[in-house]
Formats: sequence, structure tokens, C-alpha cells
Amino acid sequence: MKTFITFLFLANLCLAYTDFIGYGYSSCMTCHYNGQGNGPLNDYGRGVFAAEIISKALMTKDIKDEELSERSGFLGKTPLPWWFRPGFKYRGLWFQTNPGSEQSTNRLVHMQADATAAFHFDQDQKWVLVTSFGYYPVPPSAQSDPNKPSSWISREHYLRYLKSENLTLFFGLMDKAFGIRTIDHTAYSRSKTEIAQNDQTYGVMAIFRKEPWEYTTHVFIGNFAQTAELRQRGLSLMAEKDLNQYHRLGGSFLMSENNYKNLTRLAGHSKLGFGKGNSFLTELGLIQNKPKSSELKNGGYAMAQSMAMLTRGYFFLSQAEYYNQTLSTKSADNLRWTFGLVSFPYLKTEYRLTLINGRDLSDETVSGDSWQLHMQLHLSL
Amino acid sequence: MAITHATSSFPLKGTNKELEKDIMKKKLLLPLMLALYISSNSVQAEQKTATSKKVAPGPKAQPQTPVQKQQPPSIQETSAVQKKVTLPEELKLDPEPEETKSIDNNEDLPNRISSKLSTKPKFKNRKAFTIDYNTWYEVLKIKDKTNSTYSDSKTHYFGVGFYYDYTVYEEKYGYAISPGIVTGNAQAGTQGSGEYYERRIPWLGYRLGGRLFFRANNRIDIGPAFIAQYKTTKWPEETQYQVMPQVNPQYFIYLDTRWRISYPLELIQSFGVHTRQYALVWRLGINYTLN
Repeated sequence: MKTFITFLFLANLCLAYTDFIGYGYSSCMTCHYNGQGNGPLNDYGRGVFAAEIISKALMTKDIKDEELSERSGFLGKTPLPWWFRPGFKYRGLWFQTNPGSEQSTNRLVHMQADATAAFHFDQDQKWVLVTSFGYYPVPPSAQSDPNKPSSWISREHYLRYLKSENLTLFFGLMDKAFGIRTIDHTAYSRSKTEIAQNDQTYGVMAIFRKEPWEYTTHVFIGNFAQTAELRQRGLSLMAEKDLNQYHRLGGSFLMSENNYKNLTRLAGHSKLGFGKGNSFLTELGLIQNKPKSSELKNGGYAMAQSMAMLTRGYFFLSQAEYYNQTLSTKSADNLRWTFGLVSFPYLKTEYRLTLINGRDLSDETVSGDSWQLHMQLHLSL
Repeated sequence: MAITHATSSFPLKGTNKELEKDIMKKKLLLPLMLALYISSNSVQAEQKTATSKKVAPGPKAQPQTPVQKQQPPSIQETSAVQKKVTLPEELKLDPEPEETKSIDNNEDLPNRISSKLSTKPKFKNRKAFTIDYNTWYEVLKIKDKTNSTYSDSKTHYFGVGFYYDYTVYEEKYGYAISPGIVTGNAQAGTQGSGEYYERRIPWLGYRLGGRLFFRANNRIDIGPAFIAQYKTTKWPEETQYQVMPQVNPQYFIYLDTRWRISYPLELIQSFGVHTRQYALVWRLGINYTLN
């Protein structure tokens, strides 16, 4: 066990966020195997992260960025065969609701523990198979259900084909292409649009790049882990334009259906980097849910996430969100503000300490705020 | 005369012909002009950064994909090589050249450039116009006239504020004052509960705010802020209830953050407490610099 923990702490981190447009990285494909982000990093992404993002405060003073970059592999400096890139990702959350109140509750959630592997079929990485398999935390409400889902899940397995310098194709299970893939899967922009951490789908995704534009089309047929009548089948489209290296504007559209409801989503987003390491991400979207047996609902959301680099590896996070289920006074305005510290204190770790304030404003009543204290630890190999 | 930009070069005065005449007439000036020319090149070198060095992308880097090649990580290594020429005081360049407007995302903002040549005062100022969204809770005292009992009713205020903002700052710290006017709606109670319930009640307030801040970097300011508010709310009187609003003034204490996404535009994200309720106060806004 001790060896394993030591191994975790000596290995390297692999994650990258949209917020890193503050370093000039506007395209997800620069660092990820998946052209829309999420999932394992490629060698380049690992190198960038180790050499440019993480804090060096806990390291020896003379350590060079080049050395950190070299140590960013799964086994550190030890080379792996060119055709194989393994990875591991753990994300744990401890949270407390309404701290200080009598109703306060605590909970520890192992949000993710995934092993990943990328197999390169050629040295130019024209063909790459990306797979993941890991733990899925079954919600407490489903624990006693005899038909509860398995605790093990594959969140993605797809084949990537670089058809040309401009066109990349993906075949298999992956996240739907829509909006900003913020890591906070409880954000309204992900949870209310039903594009959260377990909403992957089988399909074919094509990304066409022609500077300064990037177009994505994703045709999907649902997740085979679900029963056939629940699978959402449809398509999503996304277009993004680089105004400059630090500013990317985009728009997304998604339409899908299963036996019970039709979903339509429309969103615009902006990814802006300003000053070294600082970023400001915004997304504005419309949500239309049309259950086949009841009336249509048109909702909307907005998200503004800003991250400020305090010093290398340490960031102040502020994320303001808005959601209204009907975009009218019939339903409450849900406001949420998340703020706190995001840090990458060492090669393999991320630590987050955030407070989340929730405020529901309705015409019928004045209710109090809700609070959550979150502490997250992420480890990656 | 002042040289308005570091890239200005010889000749410095008038046209070439005029200068030639001057040189012919006053040959002694030639060595001095030459020295001045070298000096202007030296200034130019001072403002440049030199070679950048690339970091190897990962362990035993794989062949990069076409996309991967587009944005290599880089570490800036500055090695500004320059040659300094000491000139007599009367021939030195204007000690305060016009500041260049940078387009480099990582450089400082125009009026924050601390040129080595500058002898500007340590403190600078910004005058700005602010618009923000505010939301907070308050407790309203309600007197039931039928039995003369008192109860608390929770009220929610939200509104939009307009302010003039005057900021004084130096390299790492600063302070600001901000008078303004704020208006919006308020609501109280729960519908159908039999208690006092009103919604969309207009209110108007006057504010005087101040803040101290630390400049985390050249784009981010963080620090404590304070607002004193005087407001009036037209709560309707009901036959059964008498409304007793909070007395003025009211005070808010904030953690104020400013995010300069471009030179004139600053995002404001502040949260704090109403000192009588300790309920969270939100403040989201935009600050537009006028000078």
C-alpha cells in the first residue's frame, strides 16, 4: 500500500481545463486525445501541464521546467513503448451542506477512479484507440434498488482517425459535443443540459479545422448501457472561432430524442484569456425539454467562470450561474456562486477548496440561502 | 523636444536638410548627435525581450500531430542586451516618453507600464463608471395590529446600481471610493401563509463605498470593501400589519475582486455580508474606465 501511495505521489498529473486559454491554449485538441477535451491527455498536454501550470513551491529550487516536462509520463522519465499510453485518474470530494447549521451533513464521494489507455496504431498517431474503465459512484437513492446500476463503468472508448491536417474523426463512446466542458459536472450548463459526467453516447464525431474556425458535428445513437427506449439519439453541432490566441467564441446546437422526450439545446460561449494564467469563460444557453406525454418547457441558463492566477499553480476561482426552468416567473430563478481556491501544488495533484452559495428567488416566497463547502482531491497518472 | 516613441531615430530635430545646415554651421554638435542616436537605439533594445526557449513536450516525446504542433509551450527567457551611453543631462531623451499601447496579452496594461525611463509619480489613478447587480436579504419587523405582537419577516432585495469610481493605486496596492445610486425591487414573506406578503416593491438607495486592494497580478485586484447605504422602500401598509423597516444607514462588508479583461473594462465580482443579518450579499458588475 505504501509503495502504491508513493507511486501515486511520484507520478505525474494529467488534466487540463478550458481555463488554460489564459496560457494561450484555445484548442482542446492541443492537449487531449479527444478534440473537445475531457479524457486522457496526450504527451504534449502532459508536458505543457507539468512545465507551465503546476506550482514549483514544493520542489527543489533549481528544478527546470524541462525536467518537469520529461517527468510527466505515466512512469515519470521511464519511456513507454510508442504505441501505448496508460493513465489513471482519481477525483474525490468531501462536502458539507450548510456548514454550522443543525441540518448540516457531510459526505465523501469518490467521483471518479478511472484507468485509461491509449493505443497508437502508427507513430504519426493517425489511428488511436482511447479507452477508459473505472468506478461509478451509485447515488444513495439507488443503493437499495434491485436494478441499481453497476459500480463499474466505461466512460469512453473510441477510435480516433486523423484523416488530414484539418479533419479528425472519432468513432465510439464519448461525451456529446456541446458548449464549454467545464470540469464541474454539477454546473447548470452541464447538469440541466444533461451533458454531465455520465451522459456519454456512442456515435461519430467529426472536427474540421480551418483557421480561425473549428467545426464539430456529432451524430449519436445513445449509450448501450441504457435500455433502448431511454437512449437519446440525435446530433449536435458546434462552431468556434479564434478571434486571437486568447479569445475563442463559439456556438452549439443539440437535438435528440428517445421514447419519452425530445431535447433541444442552443448555446453561445466565449473563452477569454487575459493576462498570463487568467481566464473568463461565459456560456449562455436555452434548454427545451418536450416530454411526449406532457407540456413543453423552455428553460435557460447562464454561466460565468473566472479564474485568476495568484501565483504559479494557485488560482482563485469564481463561478456565477443562473438557471430558470421555464424562463418565467412561474419558476424560481436559481442563482449559484462558487468561489474558492484551485491549486496544483505538485506534479500529480490538484486540490480544490470552494464554497458554494445557492439562492432561489421566486415570487411566492423568500427562502434562505443554501451553502456547501467542498474539498476535492484529484490525482492523475 | 520630446521624442514621442522609443523607435524614433536620428534625425531628431527638423528635416534632414535643416539638420545638415545646422551641422555645417555648428560642426561641434555632430559628436553629440551621434551619441544621441546611439542612446535612442539603446532605449529601443531596453523595451525588447529576446529569445524564447521551447520546453520539450513530455517524456520522450512522440511525433506530434499537426494540431499539436500549433502551440508549443514556451518559457520566456529575457536577455536584453543593451549598450548604455551616458549623456550630459541637457541632451538626455525625454524622461517620460509616450507609453506604447501593448497588444501582448501577457504585458501590463497601458497606464500601468512602469518604464525604466519613467519618472511619473508612484501613484496613478483611474476614473470609472460602474454598473452592478446586487442581491441580499434583510429582516423586516412586522407589527400585528390586532394583538400588538411583533414578528420577523424575511425580505429579499435585488437591484441595479450606478456609481462613479475613483481609484488610486501603485504597483501592488491601491484604494478607491465609489459614490452611487441603486434601485430595484424587494419582496417579503410567503404567499398564502397568512403572514405579511408583498412582492415587487420598488426601493431606492444612495451608496458610498470604499475599498482597499491588493493587486494579485496586473489584471486582478482583490481586497476588502465597505459600503454605507441609505435607502427607502415603499412597503404597503395593510390593515392588519404595520411594517417597520430597518433604520438607515445600513452597512455591507465585501470581499471585492476586480478582473481587468481589457484596458477599459473590469469585471466586478464581490460577495460579503449585510452587517445586521450576516446574509450573503452578491455584487456582480462592470467597471468602465473613463481616463
